[in-house]
This record gives sequence, C-alpha cells and structure tokens, in this order.
Amino acid sequence: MSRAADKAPVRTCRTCAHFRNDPRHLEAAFPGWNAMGSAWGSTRSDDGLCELRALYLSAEGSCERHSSCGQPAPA
Amino acid sequence: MSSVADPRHAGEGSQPAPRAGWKEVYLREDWWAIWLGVGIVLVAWLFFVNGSSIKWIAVTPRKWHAFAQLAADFREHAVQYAAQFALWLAVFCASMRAMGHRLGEFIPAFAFIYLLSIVVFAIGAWDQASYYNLEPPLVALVAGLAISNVAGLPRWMDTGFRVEYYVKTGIVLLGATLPFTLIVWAGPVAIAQASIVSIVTFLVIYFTAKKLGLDRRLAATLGAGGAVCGVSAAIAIAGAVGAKKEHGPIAITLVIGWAIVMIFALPLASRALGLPAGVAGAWIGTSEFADAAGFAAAQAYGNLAGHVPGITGTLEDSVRAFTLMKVVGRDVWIGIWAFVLAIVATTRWEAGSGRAPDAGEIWRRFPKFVIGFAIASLFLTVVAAGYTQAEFNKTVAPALVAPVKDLRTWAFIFCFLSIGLTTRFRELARAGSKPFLAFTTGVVVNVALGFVLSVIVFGAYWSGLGH
Repeated sequence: MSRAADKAPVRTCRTCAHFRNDPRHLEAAFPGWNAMGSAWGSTRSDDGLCELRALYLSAEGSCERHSSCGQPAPA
Repeated sequence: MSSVADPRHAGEGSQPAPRAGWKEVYLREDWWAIWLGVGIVLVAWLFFVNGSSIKWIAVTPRKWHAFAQLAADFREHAVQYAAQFALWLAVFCASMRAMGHRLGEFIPAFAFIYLLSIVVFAIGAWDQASYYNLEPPLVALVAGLAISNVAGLPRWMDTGFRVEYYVKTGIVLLGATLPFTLIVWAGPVAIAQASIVSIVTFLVIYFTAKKLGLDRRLAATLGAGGAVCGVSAAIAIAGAVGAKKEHGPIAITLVIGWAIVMIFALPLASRALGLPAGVAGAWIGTSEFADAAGFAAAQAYGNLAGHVPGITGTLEDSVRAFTLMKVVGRDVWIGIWAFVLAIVATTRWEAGSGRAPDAGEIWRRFPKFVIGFAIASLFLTVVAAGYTQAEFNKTVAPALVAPVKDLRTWAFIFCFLSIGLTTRFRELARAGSKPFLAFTTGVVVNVALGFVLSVIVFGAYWSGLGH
C-alpha cells in the first residue's frame, strides 16, 4: 500500500468505530476458539466483529452505517 | 505502511484496525512458529557440524519400571530440565511479548504447563504405560479436561495455554524429521485424497444444513469446520462470507465436541481393526477436524505400534501420514476455500459485507507455518544427502535428528495439555439440534469416506509410506 493510499480515509470496516479485531477481544467473544484455534493465526487475516450489525466480517468490508470515529495512525 | 498493526491496540476503542501487512512476521503465531522451529533446527545443525549436539538440553525421562528409577533419573538430569525450561520460557516470552500477550500471565501459566508436561512424559515412559493405555497425548488431554472442567483454573492462565502456537511449532520441528522427497512423492496422493473427502464433506454439511432451514452463511461455516481444518477454517469462512456473530461459536462447539470424540474413537477403531500405523495416520488426517486434536490421535496410535501385537509400523509412520494428509492435503487450501466462498457470498448471497473479494485473500489466509515445515524438511534433506545411510544412522540421526524430535514431542505435549486446559464445556455456545444434525451427518460421511480411501483404496500406499 502506498503512503498516499495509507493516509486516505477509506470507508472500510477497518476504519470503522464499530469494528473490533483485537485477537484478545475476539477469543473472548468466541468461546472455545483458543481450544483448537487461535485469533493470532494467519488464517483469520484481519477479520473482526461489527458490534453494530453483530456480524463477523472481513476488515475490507463496508456499509452505509460506517462511522469514522478513528483516524489512521500517523506515519 | 504507515500504521502499526499491533494487536495490543488494534480495534480498541475508536482506534482503527490497521492492516497487518509485513508486520505479520512478528505479530502472528504462524511466523513465530517458523522462527522458533527453524531456529532450533539451525542451532541443532550448528552444534552438529561442530562435533557436538543439542541433546543435552532436549532431555526427556528415560524408560522406567520402579518409581525409584524415575526419581533417580530426575535427580540426575535436574539441571538439564531447568535449562530446557529456561530456554522454552525465553523464546516463548520474546514471541508472546511481541504478539501483545501479558508476560505476567504467560510465565506462571507456562511454568504450570511445563511441570504438568514432565508428569505426562514420566507416565508415558513407564514400561507398563501401553498395557494400561496410558498414551501421553490421551493422558495430557484427559488431565487437562479434568483440571479445567472439575477443578477450574483462572482464565488469565489461558495466556500460557496456546494450543495453536505449540502445535504449529511442533509441526515445523516435525518437518526436520520428514524427508522433503517424501513430501514431494506423497503430497499429490494426500492432496487428491483430502480434496475428495473435503469437498464431499463440505457439500454434505452445507446442503443438509440448508435442507434443515439454516442460514447459508452458517451452513458454509459448519461445512468448512468439518471439511478443511476445524475451528480455524470455520472462523476463516465465517469472516469470508460475513457470518452472524453467533455462527462462529456454534461451529466451534461442534468442531471441539466431535474432535475430542475422534481423538479417542479413531485410534480405538484403528486398534480394533489392527490397522498399520501409516494407514491409521492417514485416516486420522482425513477424518479428524483440527491439527492439534489430530496429532493427539495420530501420536497416541503411533505409540502403540511395536508395543501392541498386530499393529505394524512406527510412531513416525503414523505422524508422517497424518501430517501429509492434514497439513499438506487439507490445511494449505483454506485460503482458496475462503476466496471461493467470499465470491459466492458477495455475488449470489448478497450477504451485505460490501466488498469485492480479491485473490490476495488466498495468501493472507495461508497458514504460514507450513512454509517453516517445508523449509525444515528441505534443510535436513540437503544435510542428510551428504551422508551414506550407515553414516546417517550412526551420526546424524542420534546427534541431530533425535534431539529435534524430542523437542518436537515437548511442543506437542504442551499442545495436548493446552487443549484440555482451555476446553471448558459449560462455557461453549449451545449449538442447537439442527446445526448438530447437519454437522454430524458430515462427520459420518467424512469418517466413512476417509476409511474407504485410507484403508481400502490407498491402504497399501500409506502402509508403505517412507519404507
């Protein structure tokens, strides 16, 4: 990803206030995940939970209810 | 990339969740399993080429008959165990810290699991263990389940019970004991057999679930859990198709339940049928649902070979066949499953994830630890090529391969204990009768088809693997 693209405000789940993909949070939300899997594994990619729509989604998703509370961290 | 994909902060509060990108190499367990596993192999090789060996630190309990012998063995090797514990602790602490875990939680939990592992090892080294069916993987699993479900442990200790991290590290180390030529030779058969079973199992679960009126996203999540690689596949597909929040936990409950049943059922059935170790390993690799659970079953059955009349082959036969079938045949395809199902979900189901799937998903979801497995295998194969078979057996095997194998066994014991210690049955989500029925139909088909392919169609192939 280019630096310019990095700074652009992209309205994907990744930049949405309702989206959470912290591995610790995900394993707590999905009981038993850590017993035979891991939220720190590669197969999860950057997927996470949309707390608004109660969906488990790719970080690249988007919807009309996107809420840009957070801004990408500075370089 | 300008932002830091740090799981310690990702998604917390109003902060966005930046893409992991190349920083995945120190933020994901798969990559750490590679660094750790390949690192151990390289260090072992450096010691070996300098006329030494790491076997001093790869200590395990010797075979014993009377308890006094065991006690004497521990007294004699106490310093080695302490050094080994310090080594594991140091490397795991460095990696766990990088991944954002709390060392204040990890260190006491790992000390606990290391002490339990010594006990499990000691039981397995008893000369009557096979007679009483005290196979270390099964002992570890039962002990872990009893502790977590009867006595109970603080939840923070889960930080030290990293099932996937330990099994991935073990698999990378296993690569160093598996000739690369064997992977190349047996890989296509494993892929063909696994593909048949995976596709049939997925379709059976998916269409049964649909017939029962379940949401197709749940149907796909259940199908992947039963057909590809258990919990990891179910969660990956849940994300790819935009499943409901409750779908993942339902699939997890069903995968864990059946995986634990199969840890005991498949070795028992194999024993009753007197299957050679390699054949049973292939069957377990085809029909078990998770890597960790499958290794427990394959290792338990492999331990019987040579000890129980009628069971031919070796422990390595069982573990190798399982690995080829499960890791090479099934695990590596999860990215393709996710990519295809994401296309189906966005173009036909209108799941509302609002994204166009891209082929990069195949790489992003690729279980990277398999790369370490292949590197370790290739490296040791190249090293071994410089020796005759007699030289290999006399020097390379005992001084280089055997200690790596012993450390691999430690990693697997950590894993088997962790399965039990993190499986709290009363905390698992309620699956419901329809998901249970759909998944169970797939289990029946999977086990039957796996048996036919492993035992009847390719039986001679798997029993002669590597010989």
